[in-house]
Amino acid sequence: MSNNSDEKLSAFMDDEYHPEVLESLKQDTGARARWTRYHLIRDVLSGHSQTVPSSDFADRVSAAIREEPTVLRPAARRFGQGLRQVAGLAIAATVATVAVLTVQQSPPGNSAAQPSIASTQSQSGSDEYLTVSGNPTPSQEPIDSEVQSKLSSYLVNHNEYSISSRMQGMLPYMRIVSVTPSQRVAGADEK
Amino acid sequence: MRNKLAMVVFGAGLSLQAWASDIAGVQPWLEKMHQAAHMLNYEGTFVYGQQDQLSSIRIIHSVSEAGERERLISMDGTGREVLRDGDRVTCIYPDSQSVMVEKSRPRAKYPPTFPVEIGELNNHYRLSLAGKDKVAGEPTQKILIEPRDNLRYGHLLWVHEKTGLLLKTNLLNERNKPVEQFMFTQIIFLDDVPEDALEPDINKEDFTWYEASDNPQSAEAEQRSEWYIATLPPGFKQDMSRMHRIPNSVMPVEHRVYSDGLASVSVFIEKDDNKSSDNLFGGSHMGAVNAHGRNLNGYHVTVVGEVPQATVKMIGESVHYRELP
Repeated sequence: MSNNSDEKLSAFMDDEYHPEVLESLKQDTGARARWTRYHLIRDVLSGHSQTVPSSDFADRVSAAIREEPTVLRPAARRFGQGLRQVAGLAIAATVATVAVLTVQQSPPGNSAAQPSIASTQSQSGSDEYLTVSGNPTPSQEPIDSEVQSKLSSYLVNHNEYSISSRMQGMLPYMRIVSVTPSQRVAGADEK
Repeated sequence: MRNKLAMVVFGAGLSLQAWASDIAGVQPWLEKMHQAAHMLNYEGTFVYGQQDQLSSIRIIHSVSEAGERERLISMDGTGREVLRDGDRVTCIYPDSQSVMVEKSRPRAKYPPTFPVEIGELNNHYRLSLAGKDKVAGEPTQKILIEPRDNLRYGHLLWVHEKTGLLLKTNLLNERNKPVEQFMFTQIIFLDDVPEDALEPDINKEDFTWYEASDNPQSAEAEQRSEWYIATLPPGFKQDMSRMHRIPNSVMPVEHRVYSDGLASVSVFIEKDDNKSSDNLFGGSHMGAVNAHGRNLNGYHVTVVGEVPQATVKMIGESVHYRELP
């Protein structure tokens, strides 16, 4: 691939949709390797590198999918349908590649409001990548325990003076008892 | 995704329509609910749901000449407890083997005064009676409080017909989907509460205790502050302002409360002690409570409130510093 397509691959990771990148990921093992490397680089930069799969992981998933017997519908087939199914399978393998790589983005226990590469081709999800460009907080990390403890302390003080506590007695403390503060993507709006 | 799924499950069967405001019908119920929150002896269990989590919590509330005493115990997970007695709030966290004691409670007036200004509330919410229902086997009156903009949550309340105690709530976002719910599954009203029911079960001998040293309360009127908030969401006014110590901070923290008559937002400002590892940057949430933190002029500003993330962010970003003359 040329420098230009490298740039496009990078842009594709940042949610810009380029059909030719999808095509090259389907066909070109070099492009897939680069895709994996770029994600690895990003994961390391943003501190999510604990669970990096081995480099041929995506290939092995693709191979496993290729080995799967094709289940055909018993209904009558028209000319050309076989071709479409083969194409569908290739896309399925690509999607599996994308999905496998995407899973690494989300830390455990923080599934809320995380845009993923696979699902943001049609919408803007640029918040996620603030972490790469120098935002001090990796926005997908679970909150540090010191921050949690201070937030809980603030919440107790807030409760003591909030109108809902005066209206509902101790009920607002149910949040202290059962919830651990978690980080929300900076700038994300209410889901 | 799981989040959305939970919302769908929570939201199933709940459809709300726009009701005209019915202040005259709602006000007596809110007053009754407020009284009941402070005047009853009871013991019960409720479920609490937020995002994709459900938990079960036991509550014991007692009132005597000595004042109100309360205890909440998580029935699952690690069994956290919160106890309130006089001016002390004690939070027990078995997960981190720690006990946090806050002595920040304002001196309770007794009987407590009704804190809601219904007329003002009507500017920002539509209030209506929303029919009858049963919760924990008890008949309840439903009350719907719908915000007139996206900057606050809506409330659907189930108020016990007989006593006025709040037995169930849904906190609703701008799409009328619950962001948080609680519901009693069982409740017993008692003549009096045995002393030992208000003591913690947990053996906390090995726990680390965090307790703020004595808390010099500064008089509100004398206080001058370098901090001001340029833009508050419509209807929000300052309720309270004070300096006080919290267990995690060496320096006193400036704490202000703003409210629209129903939703409250706290702004905490403290000097950044170069130990910024415990400061929040950006957004966080604890159930329906959202928080937002940022640095400003060598201080750290944290906003906490039962309002949407956009609202705490808006308030956090309009905190400004000015030199006092």
